[in-house]
Amino acid sequence: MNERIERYLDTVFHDLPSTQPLKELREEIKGNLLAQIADLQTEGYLNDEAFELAISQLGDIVAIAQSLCEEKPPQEKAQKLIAFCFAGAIMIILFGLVAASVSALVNNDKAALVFFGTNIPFLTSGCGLLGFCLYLYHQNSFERKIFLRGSIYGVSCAVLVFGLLVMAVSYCREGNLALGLAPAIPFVIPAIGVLCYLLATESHHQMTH
Amino acid sequence: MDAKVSSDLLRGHTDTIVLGILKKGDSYGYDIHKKIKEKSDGLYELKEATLYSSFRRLEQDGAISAYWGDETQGARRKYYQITQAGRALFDRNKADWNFTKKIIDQLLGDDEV
Repeated sequence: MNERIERYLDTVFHDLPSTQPLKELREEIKGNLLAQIADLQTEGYLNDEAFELAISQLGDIVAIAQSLCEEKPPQEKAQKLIAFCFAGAIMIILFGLVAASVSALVNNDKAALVFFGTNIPFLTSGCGLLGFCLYLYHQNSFERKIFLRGSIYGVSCAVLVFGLLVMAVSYCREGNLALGLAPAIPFVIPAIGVLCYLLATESHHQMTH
Repeated sequence: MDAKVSSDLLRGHTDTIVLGILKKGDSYGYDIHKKIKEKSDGLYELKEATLYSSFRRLEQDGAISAYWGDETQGARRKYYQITQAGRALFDRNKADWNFTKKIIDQLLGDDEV
């Protein structure tokens, strides 16, 4: 029955974007349908009849879903902000890469070390901002919960990139893989852990399809 | 009268009817749907879509707030809770309705028109 409802909801939500409010509406409808069908079954209806009857009493769900899509005005501002942050992040990263390449060319005896070192502040902040923007853009929602989650994504991306750059720098300096890896571990491992946790809870958070 | 009415007159009061049910305790969509059907002795059976749009409206106006239940089987249910503003809105709408009912009764009269 669960799958049957999912298939039905797939057709209803087929042409609609997968925004947070729509995902919640979908889950709400599903919860109510399951409760209603269970009730009808205890009244003696067979599976098929119960399903058809519950669906027939739903009414025009598509109209409600569409009206949720149109509630955009307060989000427009936020979308502009995201576009701005996104452009900012790309600029920071590009600027960092150019600056690092130039410094590397000037100090060509320690080119790799200088390249990675100069990149640290730019790539770290740029990637952090990028992670934050991409998550909000993907969710297309600007609720506090999403905002908070996006911030954690951003910070973990930044810490991860920072850790990787530290790894590169210390490897270039020590010339030894083990010594190069050591200082990066306290950054890389926790960041990967947090990212994995976020990704793993994402499906539950959004609901499973 | 038809066995099952779904008139505009009634539908115009959906928000107040929903508030009246939530005044007695938190509830979710299907349960509210069922209670409306039961309380009207099966005479008023609204489409669930009407309820969903009522929830959105009431939530935006701050008359109700929503939270997810912790059902472990099937899907989670979205519960609604009436707010202080919602109680005030219910009382106001009910007073308005009583007033309207009185006037309409008087205007349409019984027999001695």
